[in-house]
Amino acid sequence: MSAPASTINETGATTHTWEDTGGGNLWETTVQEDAEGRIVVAHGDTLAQTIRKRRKRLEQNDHSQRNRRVVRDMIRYVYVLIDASRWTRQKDPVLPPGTRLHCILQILQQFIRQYYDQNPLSHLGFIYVKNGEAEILSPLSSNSKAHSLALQSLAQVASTQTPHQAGEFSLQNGLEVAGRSLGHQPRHGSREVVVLTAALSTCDPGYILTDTLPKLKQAHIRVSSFALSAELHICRKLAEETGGTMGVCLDKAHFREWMQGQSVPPPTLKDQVRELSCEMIRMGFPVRVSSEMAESVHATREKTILARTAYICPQCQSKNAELPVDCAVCGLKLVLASHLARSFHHLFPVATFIESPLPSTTNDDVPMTGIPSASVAVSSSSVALKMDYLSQLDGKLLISAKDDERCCFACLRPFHATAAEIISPTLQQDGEALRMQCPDCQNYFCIDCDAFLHETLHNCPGCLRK
Amino acid sequence: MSNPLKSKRTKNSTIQKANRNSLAVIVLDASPLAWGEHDVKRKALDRARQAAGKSSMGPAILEEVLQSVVALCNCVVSLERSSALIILAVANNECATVFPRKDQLAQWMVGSYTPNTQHISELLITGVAELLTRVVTNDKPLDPDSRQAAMAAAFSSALCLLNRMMVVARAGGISALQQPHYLERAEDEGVVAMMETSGNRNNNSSLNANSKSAWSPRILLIQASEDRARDYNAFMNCAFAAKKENITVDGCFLTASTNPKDATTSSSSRFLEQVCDLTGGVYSAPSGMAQVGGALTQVLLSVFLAPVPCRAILNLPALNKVDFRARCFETGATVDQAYVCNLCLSIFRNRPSGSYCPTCQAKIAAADPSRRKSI
Repeated sequence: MSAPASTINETGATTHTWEDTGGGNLWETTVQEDAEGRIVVAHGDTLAQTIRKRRKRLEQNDHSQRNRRVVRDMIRYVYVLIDASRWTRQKDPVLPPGTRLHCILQILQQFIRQYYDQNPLSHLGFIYVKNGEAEILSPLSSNSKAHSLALQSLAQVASTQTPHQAGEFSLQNGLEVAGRSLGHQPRHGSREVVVLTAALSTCDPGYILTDTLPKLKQAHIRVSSFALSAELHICRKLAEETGGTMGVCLDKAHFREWMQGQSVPPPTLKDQVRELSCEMIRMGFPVRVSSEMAESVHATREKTILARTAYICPQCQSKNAELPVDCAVCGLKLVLASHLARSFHHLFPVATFIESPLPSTTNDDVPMTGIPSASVAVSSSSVALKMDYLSQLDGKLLISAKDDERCCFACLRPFHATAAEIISPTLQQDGEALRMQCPDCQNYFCIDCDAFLHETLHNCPGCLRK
Repeated sequence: MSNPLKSKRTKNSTIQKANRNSLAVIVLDASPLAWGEHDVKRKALDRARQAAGKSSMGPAILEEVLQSVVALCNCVVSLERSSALIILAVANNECATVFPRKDQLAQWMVGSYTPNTQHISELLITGVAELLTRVVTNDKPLDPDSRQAAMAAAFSSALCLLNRMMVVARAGGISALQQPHYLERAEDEGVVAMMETSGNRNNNSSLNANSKSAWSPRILLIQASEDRARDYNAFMNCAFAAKKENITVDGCFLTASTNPKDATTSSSSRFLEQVCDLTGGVYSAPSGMAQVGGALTQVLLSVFLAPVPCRAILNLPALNKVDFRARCFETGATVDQAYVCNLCLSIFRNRPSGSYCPTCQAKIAAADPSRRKSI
């Protein structure tokens, strides 16, 4: 994990890490030798620090769902602008393997799945920019398979072209195409454009800041961008003016995490004209039927297929193949109650857990009942070490946190601070000593349960007991 | 769970491979009030039937259910050498893992795991007894929801436990440490070693214990109390998490109602039905005679024992009509067309008459035909 790219110095202006040459020679501070002359990386993060940094980064991310009860737009219309110009046809050592475009398309496939998982009521579309022109690759829809196929076809076409054929990148054209399509969408959803580019310049027919930006602001379109090579000032200006975010790629994992952040519904923009108001959208909840004979059923893009199971629209009784969809005959939005339930966790997130270190116990305090003397702490045998902390647990039930504070409340993994001191040369072990506490129910959880609860489960087992 | 038509040999080998590491978690609802109700009904019905010379037809009582669950556990453990079993018990607001206990679980992760069937029955019964004592001697006042149990809490704990196992065996799961070399934890090597050395040595090289298809984790929820309405959200979150991790959830609802028209006790659990349908599990609500004597054991063994990959070729009770319709937040009636607030996603059958949304108090924007803007 790398250090943040910019820090704020005493005068309050942001500086970049690469500009900071104070504090001595970088070579001397990071690379040091130990007693025997072997090289030791002094800045190497311990496991515990890596975890802390990751949690901090996820928390600071403005679009993260940790403990921010903000008003969010549940229904989103998002266009992803893919840069398919000559800038992305190069290979990047930071993003192996293959060209940058290849990496972008790979991460977008995962993004599609996650986006529909987090926002089942929303629409997604793709636009690609090549040769100075922008074209819609896959129009706005709720169908993830169509998007996957479109991305795969783009990958195939791109692999047969040379970089020279790919031409220039035009940001304005891309934004105009996206904006034109988004402008027709209903008002109650949030309209967003995500720009993925590796370009260092843009080749436009007009001036973005005077022509396109006012139109974007009037239509309340949010533009976020992610740069794979370097930050473009125009992208940053657009992001700031429209309320989006800007990111620069550090490595593949960072890229993936940034895209995952985009799948979280953003907080609603507040502006003077449109005060915080809600709209009542009419939706239908169909019933699923299965018949013995295959009947014709409406599927996506005005096709009809023969199928046995279908959902019947409550308003017009026509059959639709998949949900969520706008009914093919009467246009009513059809959803299942579980689709609405999928978005609830954005509104009621789990509180961020606070780190609470284990009370330090010296080896004298730990009772060594029934274990032979070989388990004295200074022994370096790993089996004896395991016996050591195992003796701390007993066979009682764990009903509330007060029963036992030395193991995780959810998965019963023991925390062992003593192990860290004993086998300290191995940096891997001291992460286990991290203990997270829920502020509402005061129970302790291990780092894995913390990650699982906040990212996938969105429930705290302790708080649910009340 | 429909598999495409395969040749017999590949189907069998898939079943063989997938059988290997089955991980079962059973969540048993032991709420005193729900079982007390069962007991009362049973006594009343039995008196009438015994007078007529007939055998009991009443709902099950806790002792019978415990015996049946012990029988099921023994069978699950004996079916596959490399299977694992965890039992949780729920009583009103408390929930705990009764088998294996904390120290045994830690030992199992480190060393060897030999589930002793006698152990299972002993720990289960003492665990449930201790849990019930705790709940009953709790000096909090009885609230009107007390007929309902914290199934969502137990479901969440079960998912965390399964996640821990899956992370350790590197077959998926969410971990805070995402670099592969951090996942080698010395303390948990036991599980991996156990999983890899079990079974046929010849097949070992071809089967990668880390591949997701070699695992079939599942959860069985045995519920006797009513659904807790305020836990719907939590339940659905657990269901989505289970779907993501490929965990199959089965449900067994032990109803106390003998008369389907009786409105005070429900004959089926809506939450369990939806969860089972979403994850592809089996749902069964045995009633009346199917709960008595050995019949409950028979139902449990025949319906819930089979591991997940075998279920495609077995004839198990299918879930036909699942009620997916939503309930209006204001009136509580089931609706099939409703108005949904786009900020808080609350559902109303009729357009709210005031100018504010009842749940989130946001001003309702007046319908304005000229509001469509385009570039």
